[in-house]
Amino acid sequence: MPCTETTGLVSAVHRAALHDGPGLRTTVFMQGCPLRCAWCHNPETWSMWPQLRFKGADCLACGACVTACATGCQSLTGNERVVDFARCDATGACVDVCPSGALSLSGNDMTVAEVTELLERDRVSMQHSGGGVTVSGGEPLAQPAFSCEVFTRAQAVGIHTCCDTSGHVAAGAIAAAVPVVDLWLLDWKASASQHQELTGVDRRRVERSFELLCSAGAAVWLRCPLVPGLNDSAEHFDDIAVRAREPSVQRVCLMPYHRHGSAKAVETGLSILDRPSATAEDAARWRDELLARGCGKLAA
Amino acid sequence: MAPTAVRIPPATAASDTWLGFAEAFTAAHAAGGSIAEREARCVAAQLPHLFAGLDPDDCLPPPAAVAPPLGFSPEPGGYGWYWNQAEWDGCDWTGEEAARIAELAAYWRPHLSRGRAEARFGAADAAFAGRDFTGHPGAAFPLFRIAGLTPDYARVCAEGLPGLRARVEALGSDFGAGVVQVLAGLDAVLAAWVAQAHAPLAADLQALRCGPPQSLRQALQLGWLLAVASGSLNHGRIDDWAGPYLQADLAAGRLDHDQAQALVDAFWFRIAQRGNIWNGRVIIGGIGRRDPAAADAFALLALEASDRLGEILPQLSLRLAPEQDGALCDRALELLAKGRTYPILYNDSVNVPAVAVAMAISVDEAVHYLPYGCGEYTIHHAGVDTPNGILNHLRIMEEVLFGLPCGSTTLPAHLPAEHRVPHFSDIDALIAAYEDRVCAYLDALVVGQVASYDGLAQDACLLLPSALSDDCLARNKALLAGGIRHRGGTMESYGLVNAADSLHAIEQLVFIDGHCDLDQLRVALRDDWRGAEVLRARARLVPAFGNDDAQADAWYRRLHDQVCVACQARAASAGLDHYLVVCINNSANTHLGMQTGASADGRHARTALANAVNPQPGRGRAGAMAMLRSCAAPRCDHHAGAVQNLSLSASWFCGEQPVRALLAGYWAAGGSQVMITVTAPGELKAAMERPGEYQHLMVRVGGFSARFVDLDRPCQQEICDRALH
Ligand code: SF4
Repeated sequence: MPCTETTGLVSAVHRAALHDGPGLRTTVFMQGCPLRCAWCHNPETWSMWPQLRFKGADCLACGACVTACATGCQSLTGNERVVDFARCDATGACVDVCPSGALSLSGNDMTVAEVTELLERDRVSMQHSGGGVTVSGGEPLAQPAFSCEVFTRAQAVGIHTCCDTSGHVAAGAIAAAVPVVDLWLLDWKASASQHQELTGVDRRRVERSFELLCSAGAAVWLRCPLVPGLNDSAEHFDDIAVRAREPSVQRVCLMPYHRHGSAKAVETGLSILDRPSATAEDAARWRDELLARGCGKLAA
Repeated sequence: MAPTAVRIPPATAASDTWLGFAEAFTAAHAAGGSIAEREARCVAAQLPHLFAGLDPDDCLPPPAAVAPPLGFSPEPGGYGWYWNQAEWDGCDWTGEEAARIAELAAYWRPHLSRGRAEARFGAADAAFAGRDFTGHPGAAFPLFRIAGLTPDYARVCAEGLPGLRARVEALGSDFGAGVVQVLAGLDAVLAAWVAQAHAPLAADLQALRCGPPQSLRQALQLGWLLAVASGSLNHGRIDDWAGPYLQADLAAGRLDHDQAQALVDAFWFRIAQRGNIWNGRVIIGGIGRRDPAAADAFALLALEASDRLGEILPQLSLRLAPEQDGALCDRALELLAKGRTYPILYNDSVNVPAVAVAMAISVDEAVHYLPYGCGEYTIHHAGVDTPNGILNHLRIMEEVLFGLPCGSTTLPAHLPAEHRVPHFSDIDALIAAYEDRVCAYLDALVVGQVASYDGLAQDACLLLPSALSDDCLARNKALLAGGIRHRGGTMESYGLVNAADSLHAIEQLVFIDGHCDLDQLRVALRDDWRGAEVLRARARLVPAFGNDDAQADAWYRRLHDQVCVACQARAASAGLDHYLVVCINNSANTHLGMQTGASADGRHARTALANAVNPQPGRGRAGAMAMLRSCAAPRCDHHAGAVQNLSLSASWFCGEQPVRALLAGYWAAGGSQVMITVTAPGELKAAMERPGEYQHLMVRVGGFSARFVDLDRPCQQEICDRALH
């Protein structure tokens, strides 16, 4: 029988998420992202294909993966395990034989029906708290058909929908999603002059997405990751304050940098920024910067 | 088990008076007569020794004293006619005194209730691995006590002690005469206090000698007096029985709010002083209270008292009912957010109909279900449901896998080389053997249950508890001799989660994936996984109960249903109105785990079993929502209480209080009960040192949340170093 279910490549699903929009939410992290933010806390979702993860601390050095791997990316010399991620073809053959869970794949196929079944389980808690489903990533609109179908089916049963996007997506994807997304969590990552350098992409598509959402009258929360000494420039704060004046923007959420992503980068053979996390003083200073610019929509 | 003292020291034991008391008590016993006469004489002699010294300026009668080493009691001092050798041994006696004690011991040896109950075990005794479940391996153990008796405080408050006495006198029976004599003893105690106390306590106590309580203070005084005198460790639906007095006092201007609070605080302090951490239950809220508004007003004082006291006692329990004042829930969440761990929350919408079915009683009666002790249900003052047996399911699994006989005390690691193990061709054969063994133990445990009732009933009436329980006076019968309305029993079930996870792992590893055969698994378990680390890792990858995993949870439900149904089925032939499983929360899971070998769920030998209906520590990795979904799935209408612990970080209680939504989903899914612990200072540090035990701990990192143990060391350290606000 042919498969008629829309399928997405999903990195993880977190239930009862407290910080991905209002209320208690089920957050679906999509695999694959066009950006390469220096501070990313989910680098395992970068690849558009399944991404191998290796937690060295859990490895028993049994060697099963070495035998199973057809590309030679796994090696074991004595007790020293090395993973050559560049050679990995992400078939998951090593994951299947790994007895300890040290090896895993970020990015597994899920159908929309599987996601909606999970949502249904927590529907009472979601609705009681004004929560719902958030599709995040990775970039949810890099898999627009899947994400939109999740939103559509959720909305149809009265579940609130959030799209947590970088905005660096096709205009058509935004337009298709607008009717089925109740709240947009739009990342506002860096000033126009730094965006390419810090995220790997030019900001123009993000700006276009923002304008599309504003002109559609969509509800938007701007989410602003801030890294001390990196993107916390006066130019950036000026820009955020201006954007925040748009009627569509309901809230501005500051996201102080935390080095949590560094460990996951090591597990995936990637390299990202690794510096001390932002402090409470940094966060207070950033709030003051925005308040001084008349931004009255700061989240508590 | 001896109760562990809370921070508040218990009333000091007057050990210098023990020997004189014991001789008088023994003489009262030896004087003969009917069992009611004998008990009445002894209890009357014992009553003054149950209380510590009176503070003349106090607002309540004295605290409970440490129980004397010889006495009569349903549970607090010991079981029935008891002799506590360890207490005697703990004092310095002269040679002459020691000789007198030896003489007493010789007299009591044939009369002690425990021995009388044990004599009734008969062939069932062979199934018990002994008596001390903390001392050696074993699957089934009897327990000796009559637990959970909770007086009808409302009735005795309504009629007063003189009214009760008049009613009992009218019985004209030997049993009634015994109760009258105990009440006379109680009156003598009151009279002595009246002589010592200052106003207003003296006047209050004198008033209680003459009629029903006329104020909240007198109602609480009477409630405390009867709890200690009757050997009850729990205080029932206190908002129901004390609430109307509060309301009347406030309306009449006899008390203001602060004075009322001070009285409740004092009552709470008494419970904490008593120091029995497995009891000390006070229940507030719920369906079926006679005056909900008055009860709610009292319940708010109760919550405030627990907040102020900040102690591990009393075990304040809030029954949640749909129409209830939302202020109770609001205040409850405030306490929990502070890390008070109280109140324990119960869902009446699930529990009332479930109790009605499980105990085969009407819903009108089931509304008075009472969680007591560690979470067992009984019907307030209408039932006896004491847990008189323990079953360790994981040990049963061990016995079955290794071919050990019923009642064995041998760990696999100590088996001789020539030991023959059984063959199981498939998982169904293994399950069948396991279920047969469960049934064999239940056959023995139900004998132990009845023996614990009949062994006491043959020598005693439990006069005062009988007079304070439903139907005993109407039937003119003692509580355990056909007097109490519902003569049930309960059985403490441990290790069921581990047993379910183990069967799931065996099915997957042995019979589906073929990673090992049963002999290889047995070697791994016998050697506590030494040399089989890869196999253990595979076992731990098999989904476990508590993650909302359909298969894992189905395994638990299957085992849970089997033992609950099998337990129920043994009630009628044993002469019990019901015989029900309880999956409760205390330290037995640790004690039993320390005496159980490694298990196929990846658990190491001599480590704790999963606590009640909770995932094994370290195995619940899917978050609070998933855990609660798993906990809500098993049926509730064929057991008498199953409890779950939930540790939450403080962020669940901030802002919009997402914990409300979490609980709403849990209740709607059929959740019956939950105990919430909010992350305490030091817990993050402990999680760094022992991450395996803290897999569930979620923390707020920055703009996102993470499982604490998944963070790398520097991240963990940084979060630990943050000030805890
Ligand atoms: S299969 Fe897993 S446990 Fe074995 S060596 Fe590879 S990563 Fe380590």
